[in-house]
Amino acid sequence: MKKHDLKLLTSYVDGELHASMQSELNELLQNSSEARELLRLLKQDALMIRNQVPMECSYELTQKILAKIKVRSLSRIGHLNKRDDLMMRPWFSLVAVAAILAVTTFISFYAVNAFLGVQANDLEKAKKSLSLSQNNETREKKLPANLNALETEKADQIAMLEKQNVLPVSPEINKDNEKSVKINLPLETDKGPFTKGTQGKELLAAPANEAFNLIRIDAPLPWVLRKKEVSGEVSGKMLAKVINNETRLKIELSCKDNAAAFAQLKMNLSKMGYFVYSDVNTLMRLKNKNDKSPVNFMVYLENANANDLARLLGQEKPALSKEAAKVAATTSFWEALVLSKISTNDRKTMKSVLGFEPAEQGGSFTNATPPNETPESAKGDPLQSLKKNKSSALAVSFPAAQNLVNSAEVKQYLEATKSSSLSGIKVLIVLRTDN
Amino acid sequence: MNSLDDNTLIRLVLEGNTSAFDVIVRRYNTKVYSLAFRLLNSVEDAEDVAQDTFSQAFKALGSFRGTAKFYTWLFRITYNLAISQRRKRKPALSLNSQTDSQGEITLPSDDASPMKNMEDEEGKSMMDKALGMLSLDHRAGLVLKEIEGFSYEEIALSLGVPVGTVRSRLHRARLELRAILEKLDKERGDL
Repeated sequence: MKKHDLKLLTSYVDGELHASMQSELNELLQNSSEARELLRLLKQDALMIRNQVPMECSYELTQKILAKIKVRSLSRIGHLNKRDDLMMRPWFSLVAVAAILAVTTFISFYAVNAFLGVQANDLEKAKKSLSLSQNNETREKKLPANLNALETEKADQIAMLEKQNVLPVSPEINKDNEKSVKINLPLETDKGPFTKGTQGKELLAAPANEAFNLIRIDAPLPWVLRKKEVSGEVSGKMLAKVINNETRLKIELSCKDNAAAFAQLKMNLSKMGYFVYSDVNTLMRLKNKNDKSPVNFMVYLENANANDLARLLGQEKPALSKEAAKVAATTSFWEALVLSKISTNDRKTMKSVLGFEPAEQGGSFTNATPPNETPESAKGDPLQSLKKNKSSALAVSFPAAQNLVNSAEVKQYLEATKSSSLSGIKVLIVLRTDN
Repeated sequence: MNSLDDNTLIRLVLEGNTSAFDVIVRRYNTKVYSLAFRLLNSVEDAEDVAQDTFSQAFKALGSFRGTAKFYTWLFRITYNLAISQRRKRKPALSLNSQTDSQGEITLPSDDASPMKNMEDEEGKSMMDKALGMLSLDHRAGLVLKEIEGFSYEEIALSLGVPVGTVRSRLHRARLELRAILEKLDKERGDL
């Protein structure tokens, strides 16, 4: 039988024979008994496959699957999956055994050395016992001096570290985390950017929780290098000092009404020349002021600079326009904020949750588009506007319970911005409600 | 929630309602497990693949674009995992194959013509063996076509190959299956 004829038969059995081939098949079947027999057998085979006993998924297997999903959903929050995955790897046991052997060898080596050293010391002591007794007094005098020098050096190092991480702190946030590290350091009372009056704004500057949904952690926060109570304005200069060497920043705002704060933030961004790209759900949520459901909001900024941030957070009066100044002056919805670098874990979380992560390195700071140049571009197609703008922001919302905003809008935003060569600080702002 | 369509359930999961994924699991667990079993001919392997399929689907749900049907996306994960699983273990003809010391298939003796009684259990067993002797690609195409009733396009999406490839694979798979069944029938007749 010809190859073409065979194809006619199998296509027919598949139910995918084109209408134009039907007459050709009919002709073949009329003229060839071999074709008729083969077609019968092929149809019989198909029927036999269909009649195979269906494989039922057992109750136990279903429960196993559901349990696995539950673990995975928990691990999304708690980042447990990394350890699980690691433990499951076949080479893990080998590495573990190798590590144990290495440690054992290391300890044995030092134990033997110590033992031999003690023996040698005993002999030495026996020989020099008399002469040593005379030197003891001198040694005792030197030891405290050495210790003092070490302590001073250590204190200097700590002080240097502290200077590099001078970040304000909110006692309110500490209430959320009573067991967090409390370091009472002397206040810089008369100098520095924190002394220009008090506006009741309290800030916490410490690496924040790893997940964006801000799960409160009861354990101490060992990564907090320094916290300091301050009250006063946050200037662009101060922010620049803090973030000068970091082009990725995470800011978490704790708000009484985070929807209002978010709306304000969006408005500020627009006034400052950012094209703010938002999803429909978020816009609907903002419109519905009666909706008090626990929704977190997130803003992702690219091409920002320190002055932008200071203005954005409403802590510094903008110098560019009266209108912007008026807007910024009213921005006081948040009671506290958490300012931190976007850590490697943040980036990983961002990638897993949002589907993207901030660029590795942003380069030098650049100014955002001036406020009076932006609004026109935002009127047309949003994606086109997004492409045209140097500075853009993604403003989206996500449920408080879970931080998933991997929506079509996020993808569109990324699609539109990926070709642009943005520089400056990458900023992730998360607004949570304290309700 | 059980009455909601796949896309709505997926949206709910992505919004944080993970219990919506339970509905997805219960909706497709048998199909996924069944496909895995047909591809691997091993209960143990099929269970592993079924678990991993849903686990990976949950993890990667955000990347599901919604342009294709969800189950074709899910089956593609199953298929890919089945390929990986198959690579891990020694090749086996069939779960039900009884092999003698030389590794040849031993079929139960029966005086009646096997082709005559293809609809009885014995015939089904022979079909199991024949399917097990097909390549994974061919078997997957046939299973999706005949058991799931997929179109060429759906099979293409599930296997991640062009429609033309599906057409030719199915063509070859049917003829190969026929040849195997005839061979088995002949061997059986010789016994």
